[in-house]
Amino acid sequence: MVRKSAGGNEAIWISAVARGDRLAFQQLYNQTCGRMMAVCLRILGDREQAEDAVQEAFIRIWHGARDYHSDRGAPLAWMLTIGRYAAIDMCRVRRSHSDIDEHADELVATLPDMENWLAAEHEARALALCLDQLDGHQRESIAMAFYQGLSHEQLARQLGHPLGTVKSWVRRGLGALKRCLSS
Amino acid sequence: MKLRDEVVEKLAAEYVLGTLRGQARARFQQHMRESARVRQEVWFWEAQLGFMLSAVPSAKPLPARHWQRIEQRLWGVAPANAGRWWRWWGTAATAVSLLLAVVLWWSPPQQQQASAPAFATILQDEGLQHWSLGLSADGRQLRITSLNAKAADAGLDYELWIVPADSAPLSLGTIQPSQSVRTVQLTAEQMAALQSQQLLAVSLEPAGGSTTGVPTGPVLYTGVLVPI
Repeated sequence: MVRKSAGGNEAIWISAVARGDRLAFQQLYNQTCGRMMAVCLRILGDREQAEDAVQEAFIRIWHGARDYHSDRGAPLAWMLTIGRYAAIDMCRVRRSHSDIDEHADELVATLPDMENWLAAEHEARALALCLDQLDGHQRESIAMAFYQGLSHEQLARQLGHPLGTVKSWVRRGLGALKRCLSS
Repeated sequence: MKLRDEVVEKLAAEYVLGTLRGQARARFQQHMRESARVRQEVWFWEAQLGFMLSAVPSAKPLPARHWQRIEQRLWGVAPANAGRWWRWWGTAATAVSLLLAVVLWWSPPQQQQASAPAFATILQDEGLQHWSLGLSADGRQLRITSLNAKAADAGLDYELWIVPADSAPLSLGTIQPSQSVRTVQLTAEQMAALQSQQLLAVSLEPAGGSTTGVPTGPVLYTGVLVPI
């Protein structure tokens, strides 16, 4: 679990990476590669591909550290978001779900305990409240798309509902979330 | 082509969520490059949905070979040669910096030294070396040497910090470029914080240093203490 007090520290570590400090980058990697792996593994469901995504993510972080600023979110979340994108980009060559290795499958099938966690975090409270106001289908499809990196088609298959229905859950859910977060 | 606001909102949300795929994803990335408005909307969603990532429990850290591949891709370091020393001294700049730190430790203007430094770093920015730091072998003393550092503007001071990865920053006090060499006796807490390879940073603070216990001004220089 990320300790809150470290949030400011991570921004300083990223600023050291932006200055080209390789040792600071290695330390940051050591501290965060396990979390990065967990995020990528949920999306890709395959250990080897997830490892490639982690590698790609850290390459992007090294090159992108100068572009980090606080508008982009908390430092660790910014890094993990880069990992999510790297994994999503790899989904194009993703193996079918039947090939997912057993260990990863278990991980992929369960969603993290998002609501309890969000409710406990002060900064995430607005998001927790707004997610809570969504219709159950909307919340579930957004959480599955986010954590498992599913496309609309994959969501429709997994949830067993027509593509059009699932697309509208996602769209309306995000719309409602935006209105709630901006109010 | 300029996108209407409601289209930007919809696409940005689905881009960050990950449901925007293929050509549509690539086209949207082009819009991001061209429009600050589009980027702003993406950042909104990254910051908000980013909170959800903290709920993902960590996996085990990856074996060392994965880091070595990253090093190789970024800097062409050959893993076969990448022994501990080689990697610490990986670049000529680092090697020169650390040698300098040792030399500066051994050639002080005054009296004898307690011991040679066991850990050192140069705090730099854009390749310019501003401060050299050396930690004594017994871990009790930190020697701070001003290199190219310029005096802070009136009403401001430089403050030195230990920046652990998983706890709050710890101040080592303000430092003055005019005082070319200074030795700080470390407290037990500071000694403990410096035990592993930590990041040290200099921030610009109001005269006398930060009053909040954490850096409040810009972080100007950073460096990681490495064994020498």
